[in-house]
Amino acid sequence: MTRLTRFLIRLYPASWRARYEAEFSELIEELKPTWRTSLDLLKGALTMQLETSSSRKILAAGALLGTLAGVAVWLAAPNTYRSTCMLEIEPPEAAAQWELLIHNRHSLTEIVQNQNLYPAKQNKLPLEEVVAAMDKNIHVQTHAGNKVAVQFDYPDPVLVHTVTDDLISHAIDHELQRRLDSGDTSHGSIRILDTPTRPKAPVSYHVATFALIGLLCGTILAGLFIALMRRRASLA
Amino acid sequence: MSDPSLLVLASLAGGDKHGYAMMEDIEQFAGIRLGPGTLYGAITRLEEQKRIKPIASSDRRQPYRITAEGQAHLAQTLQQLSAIVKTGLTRMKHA
Repeated sequence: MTRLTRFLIRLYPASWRARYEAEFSELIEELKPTWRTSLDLLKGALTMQLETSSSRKILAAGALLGTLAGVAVWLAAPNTYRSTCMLEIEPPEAAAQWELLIHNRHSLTEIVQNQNLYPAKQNKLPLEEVVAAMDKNIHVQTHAGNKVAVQFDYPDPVLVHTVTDDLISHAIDHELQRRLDSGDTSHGSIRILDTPTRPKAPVSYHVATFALIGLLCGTILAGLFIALMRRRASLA
Repeated sequence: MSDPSLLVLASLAGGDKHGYAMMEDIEQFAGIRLGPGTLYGAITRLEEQKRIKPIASSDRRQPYRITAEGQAHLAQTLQQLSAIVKTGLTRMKHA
C-alpha cells in the first residue's frame, strides 16, 4: 500500500476506521493504485467525515472555512488607490451639470486610450465595456449647492492622480466650450479648491467585512449541505 | 440505476460476497466500476440500515450477506424502476 493511500485512509473518522479499516485495507491491497482510486478514497473520507459529524460541527466548519475564505479574498484583492479633487462652481445651477460633464463618454474613452487604463481588460473586452468599467470607479458628489467633489479609484497610485487631473481638465474644457457656444461668458467661475490628491496608501477595506461575508456564506452553504444530506438519507 | 447502495444489494442478492468480489460482479452486470471509497460508503450505510450484515469468515476479507430487510427494499426499488422503464419504453414506441 502506498504512503498516499495510508494517508487517505487516515482521513476517515476514527470510529469508522475502528470498525472497517482492516477489511477496507485488505480490499485496497487487491487494487492497483491509481489516481482514480486515490480520488475515490478522498471523496469517501470527506463524505464519511460529514455523515458522522453532527449538524453543529458541520455548521461550525462551514463558518470557519467561510471566514478563512473571506480573509483570503481580502488578502488576494488588488490594492485600490483613490484620488479626490474639490471644485467650486458658480453659478450653482452649473454645478448640477458637472456629474454629466465628468461622466462624459467621449472624454472617458479618450482618457482610457491616452493613459492605457485597464490594459488586461482592453485585451479582452470591447472599448465601450472598458469605459463602462472606468465609469463605475468615478464618483461625483455635490455639496452645499456649488461644491463638487470628484473621486476616482484605480490600482495604480500615480495613474489615479493623473487620470483625476485629466477628468477635471476635460470637464472644464467642455464647460468653457459650452459657455462660449451659448455666449454665456459674462458671469460664473470654476475654482479648484483642492487639486487631485496623490494617494500614498491604498484604500483599505476592513478585513472584518470580508470575514463576516465569508462567515455568512460558509454557514449558509453548510446549512444547505446538511439539508441535502438529510434529504438523501431520507430517500435512501 | 447507478446508486451504489442499490448495486451492492443487487450484487449480494446473487450470494454472499466480500468487497473485491462485489466490485467485480457490479462491473460485470452493470458496467460500473465502483471505487473502494464509494463501495465502503454504500456498505456502511446499508449495514446501518440493517439491509446487509457481515458474516463470519476464515478469510481476512470480510464477506457480507443481504438481510430480509435488504431483500424487501431491493424488491420494492426494482419494482419501481421496472415500472419507470416499462412506461419509458412504451412511450418511446409511440413517440
